[in-house]
Amino acid sequence: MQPLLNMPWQELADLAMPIMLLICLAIAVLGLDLIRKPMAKSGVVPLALCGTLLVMWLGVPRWIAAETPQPMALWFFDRISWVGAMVVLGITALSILMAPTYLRNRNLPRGEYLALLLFGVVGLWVMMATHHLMMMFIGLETLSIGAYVLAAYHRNEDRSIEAGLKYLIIGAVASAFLLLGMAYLYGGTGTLDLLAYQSFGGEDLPNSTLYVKIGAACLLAGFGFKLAAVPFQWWAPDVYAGAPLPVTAFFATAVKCGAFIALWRIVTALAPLTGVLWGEMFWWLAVATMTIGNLAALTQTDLKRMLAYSSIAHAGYALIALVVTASGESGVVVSLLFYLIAYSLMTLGAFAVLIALGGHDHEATDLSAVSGLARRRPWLAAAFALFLLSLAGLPPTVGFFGKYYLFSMAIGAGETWLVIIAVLNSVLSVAYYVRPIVEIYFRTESEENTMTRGSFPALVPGVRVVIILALIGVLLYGLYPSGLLTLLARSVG
Amino acid sequence: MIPFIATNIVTVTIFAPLIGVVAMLCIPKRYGDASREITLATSLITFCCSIWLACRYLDGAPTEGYGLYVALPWIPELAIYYRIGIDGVSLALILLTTLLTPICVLCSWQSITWRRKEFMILLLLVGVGLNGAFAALDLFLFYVFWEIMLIPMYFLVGMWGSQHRVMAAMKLLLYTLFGSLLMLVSIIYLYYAGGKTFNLLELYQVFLPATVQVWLFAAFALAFAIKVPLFPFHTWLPDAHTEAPTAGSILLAGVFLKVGTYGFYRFAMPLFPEAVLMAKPLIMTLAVIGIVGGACVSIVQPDIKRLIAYSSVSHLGFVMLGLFAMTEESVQGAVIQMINHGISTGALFLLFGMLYERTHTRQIADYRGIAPQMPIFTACFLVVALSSLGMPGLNNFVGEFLILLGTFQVNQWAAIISATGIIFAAVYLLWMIERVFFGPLRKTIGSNVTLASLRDLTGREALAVIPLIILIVWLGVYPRVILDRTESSVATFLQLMQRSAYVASTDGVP
Repeated sequence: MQPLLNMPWQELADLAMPIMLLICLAIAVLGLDLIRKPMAKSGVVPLALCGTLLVMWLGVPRWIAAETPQPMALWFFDRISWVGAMVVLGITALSILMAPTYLRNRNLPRGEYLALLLFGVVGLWVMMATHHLMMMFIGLETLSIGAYVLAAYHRNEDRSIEAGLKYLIIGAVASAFLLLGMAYLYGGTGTLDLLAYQSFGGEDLPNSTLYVKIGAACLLAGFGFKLAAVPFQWWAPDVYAGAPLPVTAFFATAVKCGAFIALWRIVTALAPLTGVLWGEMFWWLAVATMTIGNLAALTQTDLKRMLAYSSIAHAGYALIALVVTASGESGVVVSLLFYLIAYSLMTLGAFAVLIALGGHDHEATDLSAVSGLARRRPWLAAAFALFLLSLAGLPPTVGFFGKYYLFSMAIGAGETWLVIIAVLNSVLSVAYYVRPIVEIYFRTESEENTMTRGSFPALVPGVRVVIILALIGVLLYGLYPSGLLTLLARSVG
Repeated sequence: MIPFIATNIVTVTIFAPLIGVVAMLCIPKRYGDASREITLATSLITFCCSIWLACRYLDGAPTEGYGLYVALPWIPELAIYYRIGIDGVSLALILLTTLLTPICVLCSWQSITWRRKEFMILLLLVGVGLNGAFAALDLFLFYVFWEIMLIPMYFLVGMWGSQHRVMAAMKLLLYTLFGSLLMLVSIIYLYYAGGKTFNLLELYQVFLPATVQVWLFAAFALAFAIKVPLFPFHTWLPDAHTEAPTAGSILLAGVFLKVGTYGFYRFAMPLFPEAVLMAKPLIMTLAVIGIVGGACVSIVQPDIKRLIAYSSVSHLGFVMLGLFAMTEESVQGAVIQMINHGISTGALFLLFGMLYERTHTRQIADYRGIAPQMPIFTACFLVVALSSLGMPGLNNFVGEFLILLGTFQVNQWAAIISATGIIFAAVYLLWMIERVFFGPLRKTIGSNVTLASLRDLTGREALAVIPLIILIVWLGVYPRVILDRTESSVATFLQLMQRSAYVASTDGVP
């Protein structure tokens, strides 16, 4: 690591400007929320939204310029970190759009929600844009503390409180594993710098390889909790189902993307040190995660829980990319990034539809809530069906292409059996993704006429925008993924 | 504009139905009833396009290879191209698809009242998938079209089917996906093994080791065998055909199943010739079981639609037998049988759909002696049924005869046993006709429908049936119309299949 005095400070300040601005934005939102005038209270949402977009806008030129990134102090702003940051910020913007009416209807404060969300994003960004395990841990904790509160944000509802508490306890265990793993790694190698690991060969470890292996396993367990990978997934369905819907959407998408990118960094760094074992661990993790996620999702009748299990299954598919990475093929990260973007688009869309379905003060997430939706809201129904088909991986949606690309990379790296298992899982997943479609569309005329047609809430503009954007993304990148692919491929370089 | 359409006529034919889809999405709700007219117009435009396509293809028909070939980059980063081109076989299947679509619209004119607009949109989308699959010369593109036709069909069965539609639709979706996703793995594997290309014409030149071929062929064959359906993968078919609305049944039996046999003909067999040699006895046995078994099961069906559905299993067994016998006659016969089965069985479902519209029962036992009430209908049904059971002079005879002739040279027993399938076909169809149309008239079905008041065909219904009847007679009397056009395609196919014989005879050393 460079001596701090020789740092190119100006350059660092320039690169870190967007994230600093994001921190300022989060504080500004909190501050504005303190003013007890209604004007100020209603100003937080536009402020947060515009601020997020501004940060994205500032990030783009730095992303393009990051051709040969240098680690600076503990930061490492390479292009992958920028891709990750852009994805997470985009998801955040959509999460901000979805939330306000939902929160207002339930008399929940908006300022804190936005501030916690933004601080969480700062944490995610730190996690992705660093090459140092300690820094990564700090980012993860910043994210997690915000996340615990957000899970319990609906403080009048038991389920939400339970979700927050569960998340807190499990999160603490995960953090303990992470710290333990880092300690072992430090013991084995004498450094926590991920870039430094790459300079070690297979044999010339300073101390014991056993320490490195234990450390890697502990890190994997810690991240396994965060990603909700089997066998560390037990908390996820309860937390996802208990947390308010916009929060669940954020957890299922942004948090997963960030954690995957951070884990990818660790995997690439440790791959030369840990050898075959590392790849095998990921192999089993991937298989267990997708299979158990899909099997459990089959029995769900609550759409939120079903989507929670589906997100576990999708994490399993994404883990395929890490299996390949762990065996030394680093080019596969493009497919991982594409998959994460695809997954985020369709999952956000599906959650946005669930928010749109909800009543004034309750969430309507039971399977029966969508019965006959095609009649009452044909466009919303069609959008939901499309998101579900995309999640199931059927063309011409982005879900299909994402899966295809991932599988193609894996087969190219010789993981044919893993892909066959994943493909069989996909067939399994179709069985539950079409259940809402059956409810929406496959009722007869007389059945639909007898259904109680209660008051159906109007579609909030913010939610509508999210659904439309997700829809465009799902179809556009499904039919014409070329543009995004080129962009991602250049970002990996 | 016109030159542009003329050069891209294949693309235009594939995507022409989308015009109607967009139009229907845009029209306001109060004009919702116009969806029938829009769909009919669009499907007729598509049919005209396909006629134009046929003219253009036949103008400069290449003696081998593919006409009207177009290759445009789609996802060039991953070597995925929009490659389309047609030969005689795909041309015939495209014509069949575009002909059956307007007929489907006509037969759904009054029977579909609920969510008519959605129905029409989905009907057009199935056409896009089907035509695309028949024209694709890029494996990835083929796969995408293959899946695209499935989703609208799933909705057609699930939304407008009869009582057990949800189960039937689910079976259709899961069965087909199970096969096709394994095929996707195989496609990707082939992509790497064949030097990172999805180009079918390049992949034809790739020769893989026999062990690899067997696995890849197994995955392809499973996907196609489920679609065909080959015994024992046929269990989804009776449910889907029976539960689907009439238009869905026509498309399913008429063209949907042909994608499976076409897949064998275009992809699975020429790509893996050596594996085909190994699998030949197995698949021919399954085909024979399908022919005889399907026919036997048909005999005992109390439900007319189910009876026709099982007869499809039997007829498509002939196609598979002909393809795998791999003689010139048998493959020619298989190709023409694909078209003929589409016409005859499509017509059977169409005609029965008209009867069902009047009586709302599928049980044979509910009918008796309706011939005097509906003379024209009865005449049409008889002609179609006779064609389906292979009466000389009508279309199905040609294909079945050629297949048996070709198979007999290779495997006498298979030909002899299969020939009994034709006898059984006479049994189940004629017996069904006897019970439904002849004898003393049964007065009532259930409580409210009286058979005595059945109307004969209306003008609209006759309009839907007549083209098919003309084709049945025309192709029966003068099959050269198709045989001449498909000759070069079949020759290319046999040439590709011979790669394995060559390698096998010289023990791998050229």
